[in-house]
Amino acid sequence: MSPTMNEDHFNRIIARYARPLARVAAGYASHGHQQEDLLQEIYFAVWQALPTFRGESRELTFVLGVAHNRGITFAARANRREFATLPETIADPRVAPDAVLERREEVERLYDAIRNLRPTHRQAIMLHLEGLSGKEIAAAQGTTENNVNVRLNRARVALREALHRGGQQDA
Amino acid sequence: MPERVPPQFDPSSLWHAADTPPVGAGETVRAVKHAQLRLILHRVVELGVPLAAIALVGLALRHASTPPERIFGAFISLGVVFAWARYLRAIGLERRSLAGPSPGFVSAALERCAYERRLAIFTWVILILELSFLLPWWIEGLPHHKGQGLGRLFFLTLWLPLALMIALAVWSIFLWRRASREAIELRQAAAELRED
Repeated sequence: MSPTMNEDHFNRIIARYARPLARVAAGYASHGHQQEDLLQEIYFAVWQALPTFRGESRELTFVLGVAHNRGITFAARANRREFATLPETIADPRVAPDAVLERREEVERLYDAIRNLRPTHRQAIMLHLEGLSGKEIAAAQGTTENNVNVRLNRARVALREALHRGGQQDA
Repeated sequence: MPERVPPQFDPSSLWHAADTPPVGAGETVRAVKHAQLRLILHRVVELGVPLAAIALVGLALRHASTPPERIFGAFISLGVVFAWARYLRAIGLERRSLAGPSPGFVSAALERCAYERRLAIFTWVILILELSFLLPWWIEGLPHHKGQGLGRLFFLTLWLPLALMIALAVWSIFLWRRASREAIELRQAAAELRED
């Protein structure tokens, strides 16, 4: 592939999959600047891996596979297994929490819960939420579809419990 | 025993609620530029470090007075080239595994970490050998060249080798520490990826 073709392909991929890639970054890094760093690392990894894409899988599967692999090494380099803190609520008593803020906090809790899942469960549930099939997730994880189903079920249980706990704490 | 499936728990709506604004053309151009710059930087390091090591050996060889010393210096240079080629091979393997299954990629990353540690230790060995060769020569030669500290001769025989040695020492210590820490986390990730 010539450099120009690679650049065009890369442009299309970033434009098309920026949101899923940003969600992967949020699933591995807890703070804003870390997420930005990881997203740049993911873009670079996609750039490096692009010449190896031969169309054996969907483009989304390829891109997310690269992103998750980069997320794993990023987490290893950052050496972080800390818990993310929720953004502080507005201190001004005259401003009541609105639906948008509540929704945002729910989303933060979901990402927080995902970051605290075991790597196999985290990767499985994130790929599942992006629309990958059991077969595609199994290929990305180098395992069987049965194993993927087990991991997804356990991830759902863990997430439901974490979100339920988080909701109770805010009540 | 069949796994218990949580009834009606689907975080999809929350997952997609975190969508960021659409990516504009500026963002993709910036991403491409960043990726290209990082690639250039990687190439510079990939070429610069072994060149610095070989330059150091070459500068030391200027003082080599006997054929065995020259042969030893040439042997060290070949060792540097060979070690660096193996390191680039480990990096290449990791890059090629990027798009593959995670267990294979983590294995390749672990191999790269192991090789980085070996490379750091190899660098220390070379630096110790260089120092053992150059230090007596410096100690013996310095009193005869008083007042010439900033001259071309001093630059080539003292300051430049010293600067290269310090740079390589700092780089190799950083490499060893980073690779060691990363390997611990990657081994844990590899073990977790094998579970279930």
